[in-house]
Order: sequence, then structure tokens, then C-alpha cells
Amino acid sequence: MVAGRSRQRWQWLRALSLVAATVCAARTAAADDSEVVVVGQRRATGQGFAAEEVREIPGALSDPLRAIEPLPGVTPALSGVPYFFVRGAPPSNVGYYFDGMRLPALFHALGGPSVVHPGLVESVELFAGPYPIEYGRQAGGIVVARSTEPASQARGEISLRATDSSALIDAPLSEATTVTLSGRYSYANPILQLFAPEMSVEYQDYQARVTQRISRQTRVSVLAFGAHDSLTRRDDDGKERTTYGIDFHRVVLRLEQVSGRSSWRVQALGGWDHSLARDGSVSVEDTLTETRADWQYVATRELTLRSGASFGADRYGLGLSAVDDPNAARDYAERFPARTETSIGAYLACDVRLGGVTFTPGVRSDIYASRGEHALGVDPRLSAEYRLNRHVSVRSAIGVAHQPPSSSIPSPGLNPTLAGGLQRAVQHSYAVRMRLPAQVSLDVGVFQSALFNLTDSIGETRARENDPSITETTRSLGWSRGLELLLKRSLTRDLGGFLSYTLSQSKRAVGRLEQPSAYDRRHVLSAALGYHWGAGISSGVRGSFYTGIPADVAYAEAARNPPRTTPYFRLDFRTEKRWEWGERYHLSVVFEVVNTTLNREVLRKSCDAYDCREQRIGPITIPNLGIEAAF
Amino acid sequence: MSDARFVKSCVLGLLLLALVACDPGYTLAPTPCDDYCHGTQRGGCKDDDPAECVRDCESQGNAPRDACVARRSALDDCWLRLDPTVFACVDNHTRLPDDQCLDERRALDECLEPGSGPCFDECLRQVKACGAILSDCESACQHQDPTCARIDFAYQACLQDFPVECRTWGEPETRKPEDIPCYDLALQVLACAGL
Repeated sequence: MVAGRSRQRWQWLRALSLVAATVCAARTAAADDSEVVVVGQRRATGQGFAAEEVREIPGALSDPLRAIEPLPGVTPALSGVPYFFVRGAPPSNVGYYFDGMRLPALFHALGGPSVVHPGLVESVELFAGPYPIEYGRQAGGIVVARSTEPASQARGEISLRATDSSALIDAPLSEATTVTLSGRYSYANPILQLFAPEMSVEYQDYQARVTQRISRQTRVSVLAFGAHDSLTRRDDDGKERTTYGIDFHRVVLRLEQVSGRSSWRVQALGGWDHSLARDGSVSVEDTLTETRADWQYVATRELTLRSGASFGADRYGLGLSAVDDPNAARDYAERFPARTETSIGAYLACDVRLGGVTFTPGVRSDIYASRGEHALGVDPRLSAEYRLNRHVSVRSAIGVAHQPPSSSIPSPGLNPTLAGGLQRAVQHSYAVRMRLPAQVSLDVGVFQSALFNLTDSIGETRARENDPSITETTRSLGWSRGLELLLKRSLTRDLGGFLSYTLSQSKRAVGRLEQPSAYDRRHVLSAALGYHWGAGISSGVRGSFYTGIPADVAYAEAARNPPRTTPYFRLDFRTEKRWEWGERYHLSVVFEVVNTTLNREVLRKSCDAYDCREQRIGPITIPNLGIEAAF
Repeated sequence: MSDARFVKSCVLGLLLLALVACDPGYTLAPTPCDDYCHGTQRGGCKDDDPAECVRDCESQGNAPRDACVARRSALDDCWLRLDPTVFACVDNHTRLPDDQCLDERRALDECLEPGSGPCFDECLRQVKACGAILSDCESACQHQDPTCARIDFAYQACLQDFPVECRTWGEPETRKPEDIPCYDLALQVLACAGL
């Protein structure tokens, strides 16, 4: 027993010394023996849910990308609004990727579904930071959605809902060729106009993929996808104004090969982004191209090398003909001028297994050029994972990430110039992952990050109110730290669920002002429970709770530690009846409600020494009755 | 470290972190502008905004000089003594009642702007006879230039000897000079304003 205890102590010591020695760890980390490897590419592990689990999460509306909301480290700006702060990084510093390509928008208007059909998404993972070296240009976290592999036998899905319908077909045309087509079409106006007669919404998206296997090791594919959104309102003067209007299209040609110990992938991408801003009077667009290559070589069982490079160009256009305010026109022309920008980047990383520890050192570098200005970002990252035993592993990571300046709310084509230089994040995390009995897993971790030269006009809102010299373009210093916990049992089991908790603190310093980020929430808790009753009936409930954001106060001294808005709580409910015919065919009727308790959320709170006033919004409640059929 | 100790340490750590995360409430002592806003934003109107009110108060110099603190307090106390129902909401903001705390209001105006009493009195006449809004009229009694202030207050004092006139800003003057009350002073007021 003494020997056992001694060994246990030695293991803890070794784990701790690992942190001291490497000052690192790993959301990015090390390949797990049991991991599924995407063709030719090593797969890092973040936190997330598999597609079949997402279907069971109440409030996620069967949408894999919505399932990131309850993950630890994610702080919602507002319930139902698809803009998230991740470990203190603002929404525009969180990148969303689909099959390695950056998504310029994630969700449709009015908290609608994601812009990619759920049936095309195999899994979604959140890398809250530091994130894998293959990805870059985000001084925050990233969300990675991976597409399903082409089907070996025909499959299809159709979903009919009160506000929109979607369909997917994935069919092999021959042994070597597979075609996947999917899309969504909205008709939400009759329902929307019951609540807001002056509003009008339309959204659509499409995805098309053709995969051709050239040999056992080589395949070529073409993927095209895009989306359109328009949310307008008719004002009292009878004029129609665009509250949210975006379009984007992507087409990518990709060649992949796996041969022996090496694998590589080359892709060429073209795209077009378009957004309307300022009630529709400002139009921005971005015509973009990118060429990218990634390579991996498994040298030995202990050493794997990875590298890649990319070159991209963006040609931005700006339309101001409908702007009636010359000051606003000048501001847009200054921040989002018509221009051409180029960027070139490369990365190199390796996975080295030494004893029981897997180290992943890596570095990437990106050079940006715009209107005669240049910026260089060098991002070193180091992570390590140590398995204490079959059930417990310790991971830690440290890394630097750079990002060009960003606009307050991410919108296709609405990207500011390089003026003022790159944003920079230094991130560090340390986590323990445990496999507990009864297929329960527990992840506990701590993190801290510092954000330099930050363009976060949302997080700086309170500072701007207290100091008129602070504008939307003023840079700030941010830092955050916290503790995260995720206890999970797969929701696909008869009884499954999760408990996700984040305790964090996120601050901003602008000039002489130092105060919490405008959307700093100390406690964020989400818990879900699902049960399969038998006879194809399943039900689930999910509760979400978070504490308030900082109130607006007039004095800088009070703003350092201001009062908070009232905490928010919501309960989501989902139930499904499923009929199955054989192994391939099924039909489901799903009833789901987001915010069943009709709770209203505090949008803003304003305080003086005596009194506080809160402005509330909502209730934002989304009922959904859908029919889903698949084969 | 034993397992039990480790677990206890973790629980203690979590409790400490949770304590750190408690809502601190408002952390500063009330300032004169806090008192002012507490007294004046009592209508419970939708767009009343305490922080914005304090910010405006500070930026517009409504925070009283030392000599006027007592009179400011007297006015704030008077507002607080009133029943909230006497405060109306106009455009979703609290409007101060035009018939309450008049002595305290005049006393504070006199302290902030010595000699402004007749201006306040003329405002009261305008309120009663013409339906003017006292706070709007009152703010017109504030002057940057002491010379202009002296001339304006003399003009307002002179007007008290004549029947009140209800005229709108920019209304063309059709009367003969001799029919205009306090004509010479009126000309000086206009000249001082650069008109």
C-alpha cells in the first residue's frame, strides 16, 4: 500500500512538474489511440458533442453548431443571440470553421438555425484556446465543425418546421463518386409578424459536394456552400430598412492523399461576401481567394510532423451612395475602405511522445499586407498531455495567437483595415480529464489569457460611456481567468446528460479606465438530462443559469467593481416520438421549446448610489414543432 | 496529500472563488449629483437612467459649488418629500413638477447665479400664463458671461412691472419700440447675445 501511495504521489508530482517544465498543455493536444483520424489529417481534441448527441440536447434545435452554447468557457452575450464570448475573447475574436474553411457567419437571422445543414455536420468542437496550430488568425477561440464522410449508401433527411424546412441527400453515383446536396428555405414571416408586424425576414442556405475517389489513397472533392439573410423593418415613415442583411458563397476544390506514413491536402478556395450595415445604407463586399496546403508525416511511433502554408487575397468594396450623413460616410470610408489585402501564412508542428508524455510544440507565422501597411504575427504554441492512468490524463497548453483588427459584430466582408496593428492573445490552460464509472467523463480545468491591442467595442461599451475620448476604434487591453467544469454522460444513452459550469472574470483596460468587460459573467451554468422511455419516445430538459453583466455607472471608480444585472435562468424542453422501419428508415415528430418559463432577460442596468434601473428584453421563447424523416 | 484532503482543498477553493464572484453592489458614497438624480428621477419612467443622469449632472456643472451645497440639499430633500405621483413622464423621462419646491428652487438658482431671482420669477409667470416648462425656462437663466447675466436679470426684473407676454421664439416683432416693455434693456440683452 505504501508503494502504491508513493507511486501515486510520484505521479502527481510528475504531473505538476510537467506543468512547470513545459508551461503548457492541451486542448490542442495529443493524438489519442482511440481517436478517429480524418483522411490524412491528425485530429486534435476539443470539447463538444457528436452530431447524434446534439439531436438530444434540449434547446439546441437539433443544430450541432448551437450545441457550443452550453460548453464551459462560453459566455452568451444574451440568451438566444448567437454571439459568444469565449474565455473573455469577444465574438469577433472567435472563429467558426467548417471543414477547415472559415465561416463568415454562423447562424441565420433572429437566432435561426446554422448556415450549414445539420445532416452535413459530423461533429462540432470548441477549442477555447490555445487552439491547434493548423488554425490561425483568431486572438480567441475557435469552433470547428467537421463534415460527414461521403456516404457509402444513399441517405437522406428532410425536416419540416413551422418557420423553415431543410433537406439533405447524400448518394453514391458509383463506387468512386458521391454527391451530397442540402439546403434550407425559410417562410418565417407569418409567425414573426404575429409578434412584430413591421418586421420581415428571409433566409436560405445551400451546400453541394462532389467527391471523386481517384485511387485507394487519393480523392478529389468540390464543395460549394453559401447563405442569404435579410431582416428588414418598416419604420413609421413608411421606409423599409435592413436590420441584418448578408450573403456569402464559397467554392473549394480539394485534393487529398494518404500514402504510407504521409498524408497531404491541397485546396483552392474562392468566395464572395456581402453585408449591409447602417440600416442597409452601407454595402460592403469581399471577393476572396485562398490556396492552402497541409502535410503530415508519421516518422516513428514517437514522432509526427505537421506543416502547412496558405496564401490568400481579399478585394474589398464599399458602397456609400445611400448614406445621408457625411460623418458616417467618412467613418465607414476610413475604417472599411475599398482595397486589396493579401496574407501569407505557414505553420510547423510536431507531436513528440517521451515516456508517458506527448509534447506538441509548434509555431505559425502570418504576414498581412494592406494599403502599404504590413503586419507580422508569430504564434508559438506548446502543449503537453500526460496520462496518469487509464482514467485520468492531465493536459496543459500555452500559446500566442494574432488576429487582424475586427469589427464589433462579425459580419461577412465587414473587416477593418490593418491600421493600428494586429490583436494579440497569450493563452494558458491546464486541465484534468477523468473517465468515471458508468460512462461518465469529467473535465476540470483552469485558464488565463491576456488580450493585447484588442478591438472589442462591445466589451468596451461601459468604458466608452465613461470617457467620451474612447471611440469604437480605441484599442484596449483585456485579460481573463477562470475555472471550467464539464461532467457528461452521452445523451444517446437511455439516461444521459451533462453539467457544465464556468467561473470566470474578464476585464478591460482602456486608457486610465480599468473595469470588467461589458459582458463579463462570473457564473455560467448549464445542466441537461435526457431519458429514453422506450417505444421511440424520448424527453429532455435543460436549465441554463448565468449571473449578471456589469451595470452602467457614472464614475470610473465605481465602474471598477460595479453592481451586476439580475441573474438569468431559462428552462428548455424537448420531446420526440420516433418510428423506425428496419435499420434505415425513421420518422420523428419533435416538439421543443427554448425558454419554456418565458423568462425575460436584463439587457442593461443603470445605477447611481441610491438606485438601479433595469431594461429587460423578451421573453425570447422559441417553440418548435418539427417532422424529421431520414433514410 | 491524502485524497480526502485533496477533495477538501478543492471544495474550499471553489467556495473561495464563489465568494470572490459575489455582486459587490454600488461601491461609492453618494455624491451631490447622485443626490440630485435620486431626487429628480422619481417618475418611474421607462427611459429614466440613473447613470446617465449623474453623468449629465457632472458634465453640465450641476454639481453645486461648496457655498450652494446646503441649498442643493434642501431642494433634493424637498423633491424626496413629494409623493412620486406628482412627477409626470414625458417622452418616457421624468419631468419635474412646475408647482412644487419653488422656494428651494429659486434659492438654489440665486446661489448658483447671484441675481437670477427675477429671471426665475419671470419663468414662473411664463409657466402660469403661457404653459411654459419651468425647467426649460430656468436653464435659460444660466449665463456664461457675468455682464450678460447682469443685463438679463435687470431686464427680467423690469418685466415684472408689466403684464406677462406669451410669445414664441422667433415670432416677428410688429410692435412699435415704445410699446415694447423694457425696450432699452431688451436691446442690450439681444446685443449681448450677439443678435
